[in-house]
Amino acid sequence: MSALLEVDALHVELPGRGGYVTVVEELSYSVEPATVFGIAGESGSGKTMSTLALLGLLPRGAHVGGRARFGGTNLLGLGPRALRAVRGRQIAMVFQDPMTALHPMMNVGRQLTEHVRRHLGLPKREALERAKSLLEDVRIPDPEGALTSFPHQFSGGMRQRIAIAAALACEPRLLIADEPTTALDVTVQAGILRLLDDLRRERDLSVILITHDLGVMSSIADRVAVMYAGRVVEAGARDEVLKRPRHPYTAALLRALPQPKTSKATPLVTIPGAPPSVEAVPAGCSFHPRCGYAVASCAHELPPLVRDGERIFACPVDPFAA
Amino acid sequence: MSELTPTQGAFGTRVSLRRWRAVSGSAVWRQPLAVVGVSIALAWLLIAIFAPLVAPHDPLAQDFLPLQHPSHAHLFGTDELGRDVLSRVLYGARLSLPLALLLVSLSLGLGLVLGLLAGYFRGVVDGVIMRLTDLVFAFPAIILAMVVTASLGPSIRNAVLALVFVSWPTYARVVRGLVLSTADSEYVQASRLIGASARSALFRVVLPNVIGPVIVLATLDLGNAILLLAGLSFLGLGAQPPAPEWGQMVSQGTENFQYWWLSTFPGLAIFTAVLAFNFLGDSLRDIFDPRTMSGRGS
Amino acid sequence: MRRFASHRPLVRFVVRRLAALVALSIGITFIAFALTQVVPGDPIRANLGQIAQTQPDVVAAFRHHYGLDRPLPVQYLRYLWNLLHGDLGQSEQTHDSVLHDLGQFAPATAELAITAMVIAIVVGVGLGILAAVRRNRPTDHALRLVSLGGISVPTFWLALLALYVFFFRLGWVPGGGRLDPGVLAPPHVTGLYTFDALVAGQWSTFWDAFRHLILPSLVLALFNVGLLTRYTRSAVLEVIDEEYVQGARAKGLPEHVVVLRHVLRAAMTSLITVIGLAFANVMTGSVLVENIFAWPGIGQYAYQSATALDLPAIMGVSLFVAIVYILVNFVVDLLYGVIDPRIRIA
Repeated sequence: MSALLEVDALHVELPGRGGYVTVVEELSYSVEPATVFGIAGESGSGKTMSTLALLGLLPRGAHVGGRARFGGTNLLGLGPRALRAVRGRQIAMVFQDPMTALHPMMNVGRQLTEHVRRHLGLPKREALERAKSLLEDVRIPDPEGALTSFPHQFSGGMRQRIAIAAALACEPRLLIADEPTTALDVTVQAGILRLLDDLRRERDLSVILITHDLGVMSSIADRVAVMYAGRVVEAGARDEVLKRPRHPYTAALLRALPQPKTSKATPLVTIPGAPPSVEAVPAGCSFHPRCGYAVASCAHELPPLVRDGERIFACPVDPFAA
Repeated sequence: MSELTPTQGAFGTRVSLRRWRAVSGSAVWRQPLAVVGVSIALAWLLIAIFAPLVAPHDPLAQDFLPLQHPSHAHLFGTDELGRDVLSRVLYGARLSLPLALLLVSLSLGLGLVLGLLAGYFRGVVDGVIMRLTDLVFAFPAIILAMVVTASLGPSIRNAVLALVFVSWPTYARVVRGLVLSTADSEYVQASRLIGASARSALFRVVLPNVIGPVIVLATLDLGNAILLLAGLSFLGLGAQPPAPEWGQMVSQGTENFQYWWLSTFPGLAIFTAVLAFNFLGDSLRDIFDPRTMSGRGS
Repeated sequence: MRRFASHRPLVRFVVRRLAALVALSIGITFIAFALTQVVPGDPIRANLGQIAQTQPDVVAAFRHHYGLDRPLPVQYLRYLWNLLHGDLGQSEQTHDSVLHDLGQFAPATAELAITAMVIAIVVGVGLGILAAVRRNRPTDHALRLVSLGGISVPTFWLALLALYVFFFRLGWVPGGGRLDPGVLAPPHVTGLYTFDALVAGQWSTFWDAFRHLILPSLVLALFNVGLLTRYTRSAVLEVIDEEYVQGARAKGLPEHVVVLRHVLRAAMTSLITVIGLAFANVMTGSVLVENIFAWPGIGQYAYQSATALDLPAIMGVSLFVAIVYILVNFVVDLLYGVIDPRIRIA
């Protein structure tokens, strides 16, 4: 089975106040057809920037290096015109906040059809028909009426469903979902995740799911990469990474998850310290100042990515060896 | 920038001090336009103060051949009565700048008082004052000013009064809005909790927060004031001949159309003076939150 | 949860706005009336001239005839009553009814103001978008200078310079007025000569009217070009980083569609406010521009009646301009509701 998307040594630098800062470094992964690939990490870890880079949506002046093979072409080598033909058509995106991701002054029908008419050349009536059936697919009640409504008339969960419908309108092969459930209530979250999972199966869709929430990750991702300060620190099959983490950071993230089974008296576990800013990434392993297992070499030597069967990780010590 | 919004911070006075430091400190000087604006405005101010020293001739003396082209002897030429145009333009700064300052401070003062009253007492007082601003806003400034000046008799004093009459509402509205938002903020509630009276809260906490944005608004307004005053004088409703007033001088040029220097130079003087204040005001607006600056709008 | 935005809130919105408009109009009549009371001098004496000196009984008779011997509140009510019947009084200068005069002069100003507004909106909004898209680059800096320059030029001076260069020196445009002497006005439809000439198919008249219109309207537009450029820039910048804009790009829409359809639509609500403001500037400017270009419009009429202390005319003009002005603001308010569906509900 050949991969749908193969990212190889992706490198992103953004213009900052005092020159360029590196936000993504040496990022490699591949996404298989009809699977969900999860990228986890705290905010500022570079997970969003790494996907914006694929679509050429980075802020002006950004430097991008590496390769990203998608269906035989290198996305990073495409010109603006060719990229536009990919965006929305082959690769679509869903953003974090459904309150701001839809245009507040455009009706839903228009937002579901404008790119369809452009990419697929459908006449207005057909595009609207298609939009209606899409709204049905994402379980919006009264799709006909929804077409002439405006985003503010829907709840957050409904808006996110509309945003997903818009993303799927041109039948893309890859959907990038950037924190699609973060802004939603827990009960609504589950509905959206189930929807994404169903769509993947029904439509043969691959999904890159970006989230800081390992709980969300564990419910639908097939493979997982954990990022810290612009680099992958651990990646592999979901169950392996989330059940038997090899990197202290992954372990710390897992411990920080609220555990439903423990008693209320157990205090919430947090990771000490804060993630580094992109302008001042620590030398060596960037996690070492917050790491309980760090040894002397961690402070100045960048641990290489080690392969162990299906999984890779970047930590010289094995904190869980015993 | 967030520390500059008037409603934030635990202590009103400290916030506004910090804001002033931002204005007087590096923030302004990093803006080249502000520097240019301040320089031009300062130059005009110095010219106004030292007009008798810098002007080559008496602005009123009809000593020369009328309507001479600009030359070495008369850099800006002479007018139809044989007066030196350069000297008249330089002396013009003595009228336009102080009058614009006066006009703006009067409207600011009136608007500040009425805005504070409206924001402090709310209710009926607020309603009456705000309906008054609605009424004044319903007339285009110049028509109302024209009618008022014409009624009171055309003179520079009445022109200023008329323009005060049409320009105070902007200040009143901004001040009222700032008072309302500051008075409801946590630190005013807090200062009242620890026993400060409502009035002392108004003067110690609210007022300092209101002054900053209003001063910026006033700077932005200075250019406009110069334009409006010159416009009224141009129409013959402001400064009267033979006073060397810029707008009045431009209107002299309309009657002697082919002698372009008569109106070109006083017009340039207006333009540069207004530009200076607009440069400064625009830079200040960049530094402050632009949204606190909209006086009009419903 | 959805679809409770029927047409009814919109109706209620319009009704509320209309009520405010009526209240404001009454307030304006009050101000206009109050102004006439502060004017020194006696209009009857001024009108009667010599007779007033010699025959005081005639003065008294006139006073009685015009109700000027009644208490002020009665005079005000009488004034309102006359207004309701479309009677604005008679101008002391033109000896015509003020209403007739307004009908005579309003179309000229309308033609000038509309042209200037269209130029200002097209150029100003265009340049503002350009500045926002090129933010902090040389184009943006240059446009900042241009727009600040535009709002700093005294309109009356610019009018003179333009007239000097393009009429006196180059002879490209006529010197003033709405038509060359000897050219007949086109058959009256709207009173806008360019429009009426087109309707009547009189091409040479159209061309003549157009040549007269172009310079004053450009001069009148400049201030607002500067204003709109600056405001459009900040209105666009306020929304250009919104997620839905990035979303539109992610859909594969070309940049010009993203900017013109998504960004501009979102910026429109702030822009409409400024366009209302720009209209007030045009009214201000038209007094000065009409004066210089001998344009027979409301601005000239206002100026002449103000300097001659022609009270009925002054009151009429103030009332007329104020009502046009609040109507414009009324339309602006309605446009908010049309453009932003969220306002209709609030």
